[in-house]
Amino acid sequence: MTPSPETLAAFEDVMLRYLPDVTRYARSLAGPGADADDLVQETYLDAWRGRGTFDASRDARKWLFAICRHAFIKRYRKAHREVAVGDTPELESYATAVGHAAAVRDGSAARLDGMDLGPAINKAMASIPAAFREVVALVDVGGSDYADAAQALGIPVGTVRSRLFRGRRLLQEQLLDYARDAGFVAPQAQEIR
Amino acid sequence: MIHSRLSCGETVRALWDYVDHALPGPMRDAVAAHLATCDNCAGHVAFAQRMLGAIATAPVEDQDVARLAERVRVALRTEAAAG
Ligand SMILES: [Zn+2]
Repeated sequence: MTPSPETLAAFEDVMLRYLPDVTRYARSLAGPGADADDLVQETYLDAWRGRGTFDASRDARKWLFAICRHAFIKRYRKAHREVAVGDTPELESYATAVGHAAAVRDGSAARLDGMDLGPAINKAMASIPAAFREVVALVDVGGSDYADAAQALGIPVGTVRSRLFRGRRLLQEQLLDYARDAGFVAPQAQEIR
Repeated sequence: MIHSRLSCGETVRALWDYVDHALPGPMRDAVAAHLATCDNCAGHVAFAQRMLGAIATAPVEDQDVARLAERVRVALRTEAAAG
């Protein structure tokens, strides 16, 4: 049976409110380019086909994110060569702090204080390797915890932490570079004891 | 208690797990205690949290939203018409 125009209008009325969020999530998962737009469209088509399973008392945004994540993993996730990160999440954490300490010393961290990080984040997300970006997308944009992300990607939790922390470190580096490009001197390494 | 007094190095090794609320209770408390007395480490954590906030809310241009909304509406109409 063809659904009534009212059914479609009601669906659009609720679900399209989250289009900016779904777009952000799709872009962070699929990376820059046409795939992200296709993923947004497929998310909404899949949601429409599965509308009978949506419980209106639930969070529509979370429901759309789950559909988007599923579509990404089934159809868009590129087979990327295994990245050699090793299980070194603690060292990635440490390196993040070392990078920030250097930026505090050279003034670039202070430079970011009054700046809107949004545009720089978008550029940085587009530039980091997919293996790191997709984990950042799942956890930091989609709100998955480590175990959820590990299950979704079929990788161990330790690998999720390594890739996530590496991805965040790379993003932080880019933000600090962005501030440095605005006229600050190169950082000096600083040990943290 | 090995966690009772952390160095700066030990604290920042736990930075992301701390920010993600993924540390076991005693370690979490030890990191929090260090951060309460160390401006340097507290600054690293504050920036990390700010960055995560920016990732979660990264801007999507209005014109992109409008374009995608139109595209999605067309696709949904086609799909709905097909029954
Ligand atoms: Zn410290």
